[in-house]
Amino acid sequence: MTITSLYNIDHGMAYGLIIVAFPFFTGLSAGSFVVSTLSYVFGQERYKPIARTSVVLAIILLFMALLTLFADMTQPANFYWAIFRINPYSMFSLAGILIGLYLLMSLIYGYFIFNDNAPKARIMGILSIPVALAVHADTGFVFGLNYGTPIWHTALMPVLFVVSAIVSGLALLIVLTVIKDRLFSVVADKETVYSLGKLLAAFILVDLFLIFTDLVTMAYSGQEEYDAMILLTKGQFVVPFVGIEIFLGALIPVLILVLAKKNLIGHFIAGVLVVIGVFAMRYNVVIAGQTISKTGTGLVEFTGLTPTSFGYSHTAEILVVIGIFALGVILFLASAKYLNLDVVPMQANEKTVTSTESGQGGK
Amino acid sequence: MVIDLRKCVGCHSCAVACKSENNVPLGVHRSWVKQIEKGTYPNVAMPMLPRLCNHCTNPPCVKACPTKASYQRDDGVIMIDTKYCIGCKACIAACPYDARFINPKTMLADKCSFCDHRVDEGLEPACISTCIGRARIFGDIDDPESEVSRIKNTNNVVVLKHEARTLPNVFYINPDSDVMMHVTEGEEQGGRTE
Amino acid sequence: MNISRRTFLKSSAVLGGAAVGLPALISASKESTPDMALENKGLSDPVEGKDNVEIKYSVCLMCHSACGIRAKIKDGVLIKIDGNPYHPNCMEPHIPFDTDPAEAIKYVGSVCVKGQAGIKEIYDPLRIKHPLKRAGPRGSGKWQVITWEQAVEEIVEGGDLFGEGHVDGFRDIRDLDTPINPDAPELGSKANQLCVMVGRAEHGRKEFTDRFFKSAFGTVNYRNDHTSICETSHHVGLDLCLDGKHHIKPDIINSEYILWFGTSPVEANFPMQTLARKLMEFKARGGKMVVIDPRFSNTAAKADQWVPIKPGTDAAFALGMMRYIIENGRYDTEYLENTTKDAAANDKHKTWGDATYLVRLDDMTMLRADDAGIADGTHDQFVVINGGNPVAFDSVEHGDLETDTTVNGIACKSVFTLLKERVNEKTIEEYAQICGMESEVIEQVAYEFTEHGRKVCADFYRGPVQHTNGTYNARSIAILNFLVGNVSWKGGCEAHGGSHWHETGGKSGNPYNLAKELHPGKVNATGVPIERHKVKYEDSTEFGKNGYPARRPWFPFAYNFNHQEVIPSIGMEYPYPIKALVLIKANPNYSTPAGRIYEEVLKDTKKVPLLITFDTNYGETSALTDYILPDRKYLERYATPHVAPAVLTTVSGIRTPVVDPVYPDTMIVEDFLIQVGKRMDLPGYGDNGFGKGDPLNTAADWYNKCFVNIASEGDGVAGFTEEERLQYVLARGGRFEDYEKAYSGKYTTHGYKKQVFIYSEKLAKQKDSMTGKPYDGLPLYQPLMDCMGNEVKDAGYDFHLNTYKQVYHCQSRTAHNEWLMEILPENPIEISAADGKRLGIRNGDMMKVTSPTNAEGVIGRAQLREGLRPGVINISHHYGHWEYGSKPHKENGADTGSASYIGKGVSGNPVMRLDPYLNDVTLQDPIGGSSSFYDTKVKLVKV
Repeated sequence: MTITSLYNIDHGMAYGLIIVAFPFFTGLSAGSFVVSTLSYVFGQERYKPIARTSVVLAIILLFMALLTLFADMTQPANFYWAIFRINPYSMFSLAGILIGLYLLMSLIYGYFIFNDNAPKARIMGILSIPVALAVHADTGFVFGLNYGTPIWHTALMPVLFVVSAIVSGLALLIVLTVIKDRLFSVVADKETVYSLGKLLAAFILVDLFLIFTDLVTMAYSGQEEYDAMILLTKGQFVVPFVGIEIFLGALIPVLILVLAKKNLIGHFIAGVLVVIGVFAMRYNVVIAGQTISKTGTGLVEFTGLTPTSFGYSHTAEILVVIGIFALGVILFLASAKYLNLDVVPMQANEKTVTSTESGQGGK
Repeated sequence: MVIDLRKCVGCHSCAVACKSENNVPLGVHRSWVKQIEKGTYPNVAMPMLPRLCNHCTNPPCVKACPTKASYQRDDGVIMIDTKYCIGCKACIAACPYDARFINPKTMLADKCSFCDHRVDEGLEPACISTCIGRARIFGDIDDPESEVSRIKNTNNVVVLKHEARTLPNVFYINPDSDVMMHVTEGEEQGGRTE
Repeated sequence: MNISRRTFLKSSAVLGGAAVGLPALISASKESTPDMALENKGLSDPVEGKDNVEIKYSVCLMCHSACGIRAKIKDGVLIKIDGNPYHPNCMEPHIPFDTDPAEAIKYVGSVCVKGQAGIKEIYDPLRIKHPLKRAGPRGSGKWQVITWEQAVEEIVEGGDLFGEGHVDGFRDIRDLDTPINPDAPELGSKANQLCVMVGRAEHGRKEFTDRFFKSAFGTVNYRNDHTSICETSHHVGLDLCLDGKHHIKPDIINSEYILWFGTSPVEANFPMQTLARKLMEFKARGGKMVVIDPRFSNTAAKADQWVPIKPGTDAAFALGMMRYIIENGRYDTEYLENTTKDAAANDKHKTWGDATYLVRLDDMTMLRADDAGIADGTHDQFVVINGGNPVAFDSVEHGDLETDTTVNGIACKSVFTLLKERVNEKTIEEYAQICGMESEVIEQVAYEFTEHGRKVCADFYRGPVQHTNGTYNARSIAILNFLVGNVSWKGGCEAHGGSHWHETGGKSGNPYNLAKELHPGKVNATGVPIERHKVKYEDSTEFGKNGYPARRPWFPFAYNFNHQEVIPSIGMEYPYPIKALVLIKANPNYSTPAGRIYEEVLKDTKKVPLLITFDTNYGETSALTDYILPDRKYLERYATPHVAPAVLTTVSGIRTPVVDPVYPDTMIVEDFLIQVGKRMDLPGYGDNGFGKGDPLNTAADWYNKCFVNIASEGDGVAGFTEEERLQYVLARGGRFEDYEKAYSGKYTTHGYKKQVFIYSEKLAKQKDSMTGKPYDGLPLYQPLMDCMGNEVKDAGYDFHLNTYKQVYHCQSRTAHNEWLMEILPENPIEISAADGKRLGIRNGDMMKVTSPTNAEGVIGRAQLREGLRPGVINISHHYGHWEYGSKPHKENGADTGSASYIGKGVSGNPVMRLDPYLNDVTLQDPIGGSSSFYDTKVKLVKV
């Protein structure tokens, strides 16, 4: 028996590329933030050289994420209602609050770091970590609590988002550290990079396991979940999912990290691949998720876009994402120029040692 | 609302009546008729399914709205207070029925309102009064004496995605399971064949 | 929501404002008709309130069903169309006619998808907004905006209008005294060289244009309307079965079992919404319906059984059924044995048949009492066998059904015996084989058809008749009803319906007889129409000279004109050349099978020296003309539409403008013709148009009288004066008989009460103008044939091209309607899933369809359907326009604009097969004159 759709309305996808970028940026932000706390909060002193970079990155990325949200709204001028009319049941409403809170806290945290106020930074870091993770977990909930979208609607979604946030944060820092090392003659602490690499490989494996359990569960679920699983593994998303997200963005980097334990360039390549893979993961969640028609027969095409502040077209969406990305790069370069991100390990050597000692003493 | 699918002839009058009554722009629909063809020649069926907002008793869109612009009236009708709408599309993503959309003219979230402006004046919604097969019955489902309650209670009625616990208030008599749910089309992905 | 509504009003108003270009130079109807305007008697709309809101009743014209509508107008802009609850098309039961309009506002009738989209018609920005004259060769797309006065002058007076030499105007053409051809005086006067083609003539306007062209101008080519590209053989076939009636419908509400041959009443047919509503009620009560159609239509989807018959074999199916019914004695003997009305009345029947009448086998005519040697027998009396003796039919109540005898030396058989012999010519298996199905299907349908007494009906519409064997198919199906004696019974076959009151007068109570007394100086148009309908070749001079075959076929039975023959006949100048062609709401190039080839004739200024069209948009045909005169849309004008016999109560809808003309420099056709009539001093126009002191100066003068006639006929509606009665019907959108009047006891009140004919002596006596062979008076299955009677086989063309109407479109004229085009922006080429699989065709593949007479073909997207008989492909109508706003024209050098969505999809008409003998016209039914829409064999190639 064949079923042919003769007529149905699909109102297209609610979310397009801009909202693909949103969890990508929040994820990177949360990941960077967590990495920055490795030294100040968890006392992993060898990560200290990257603490400033990562906190600045976290703030910039969060700002970029906020921009994507505004860009995707059709009535951004009304945004204040989201503050005055909070809906506790709405993950979107909570996302706004959490992002605001997180932005504020990470600014304070960053301020302490730049003032070398390690104890206050530590306290602020401890307070901020749950918020940073909550931001991203909530982003997971923003998608995960939608019953009608099979790829989204899983309890794993917030966990997946948090783990992939850490993965992407780690990868980004590896990449940036190596770049600084090669292009800006800021000598990287290779061991830091290699240990970040180990951490990254571990988190990737956790991520892969989560994805695996999710897929298996989908395969044993209802029609829509099954169709979604087929869509990802055999259907039109086989390249972005199996090809980019799994192979290119996870398996190959793990292989590199394991085989080239002491190779800076290898780590760089792995990091780049992981960042690409995480972007693919966001794409696969947001776009593939909406590809399974809620009520229709067959698939929704990624063409009938719901409008954003910038209209309907893919071109506009791509330009907006590129624009926000470019703004992020500019902000980062500016901060690199004006904020002396790398001065910490050299100038404050003594203090560093001291704090290391105290850190060790703490153990 | 009860829709007796035995009487739906797939004429799309409801869809265009809605466009006209509510001035819905091209490209988006508050009301439409899904139609599929199933079977193998010559044993074929062409089930229809008029679609609109289900005005759920447990509405996920209202929960998802960050500004409480989407709300439930006392009589159960789900409405959008457009002055609070920020256009974030959370409600669109939350609706498991694809009943919501961004109106390209107003750039606000939009959907079927059960023709509240007509109902409040004692008229039926536009889709009801123009249904040529008389498949649609509208009324107060909470009033056990109403025609709509009587028909709902004495027929095999089904709602869309019952398992979603949205408690829809659009009830279908005699629907086809394949038109009610998402199915994979044709042979594209193996489909629900044989 | 309020915000968006206001936005709409504003944009519409801007549209209207933009239209104000040239002022209306001749007084438009609106200014001169204050008395005609429906006064807004304080009716308040519950939703919009009273402010600036008007409620006006009118009648829809999105298809020809003529459903009543109630328009809501806010600040002069039409914002919503609803159904008129007084109108039986729109409500079941409709509200009593004496309901106060203020009370009626609480009830809302239904209108279908097209009716709802009517708003988009008037505010269509691509409408033609001014009178246009071509500014280049025909079809160049270059136009000059002219005034209405110039249009009247040039069309009447002629002259060197285009710098291409002298063109005769109407005044020159109207020569009522000189014969066109002195050697063939039967062709009539030179006035016949004005030829008119109306697409769909609506009542009110039809009577008006007939008055103008036929009774004032004096041409026999006064209408030539569309029916032969619609379903004329349905009418002609029924006309040869019934006395003067030509449309049957089941009394659905009380029926138990309905057979639909080749029609989809929940999508098409008419009134579609009424049929759909009644059928769903019928289904809810447990009624059973069978759809016999190669396409799995929406109706088939609602039916209990779908019989995917091979196209064009409906007669074989019906004959197979008849064989089963007769073999098993499942016919109504009592009914069939009746010989006269009185005999039928004794059996409580309203109708009677001819089954017992004797037919002489020598010339296949009816045996007459005088020839039978019956004492005092006259030639008007038929003969039946009663008690073994031949007797005059009206001297006895019953005759023997089965008779094979010799009377007065003449070998005779009864009609019933002939029918029995006819159906026994083939076995049911053989019939089933022709139809491409198992014989059990025919037997089972025949069994069930005869299991419900008189509460059954076998109905059909366009499907079985737009074939070369259309009339025979029609008769074969209709006769099924006669075998069960269901005509005019409650729940049976309705052949009359409630009908209408008479707008042009002539009946009791009508104050104005518009066609007689009120047409002073009326002339009598005589002669042979250009497409030779309703005339016999044998009466022509040509026949005397050449005998058979004629140069082109003649259609003595096609009383409804032959639309597709007009332009090819003009091209052949047969039987005479013409001087001017006037198109009114007609688009033959798009709408007629293979009509695209008409372009050659229409572009030839020698064959068609003057070519005028009344149109609202740049139609495919209008784009080739000399003058386009912009008509107004239905919501801006008048009419008195009738409804089909699906409605059993009497209905006369009244269409009046609901809004001021959106584009003021447009004009109602009637107004223009009045200007022409006045300029030419034609009889019946001007200050004394209706007689001394009674003017016909505007369309409103005409319709005022039409409406008063409707309001006054019989007992008339409530009101002491004409004005009161007029306002009474205007306030209700027409005059409507109350619902409970539909039935009288076991019968329909207005049902057909005359004889039904199984045998058509008229057919048997007439020879075909091409083959010279007589037609067959019995039901008959014939294969596909050309006009010379040769079977058309087209080996190598494996697919059968079928076409149908989408529920959300109407003919050629809705492709510009955004709301309707939005539903299905592009129609596919539907291919059976089995064929698709076999040939490796997938959904969305671009396919080319070619036929033996169109190798260029048409191209569209494939859609595989299980609900389609393998071997048949389906292309719906309405799409694939190559003009109609899909490309821009130039008016005074400026671009008119276009819309890309209009030309989408594919039309099957251009590939339809030409008659292999004539090669300039589609295949046709030689009897009914139907053009063949469903007989083309095609090839399917991937592009």
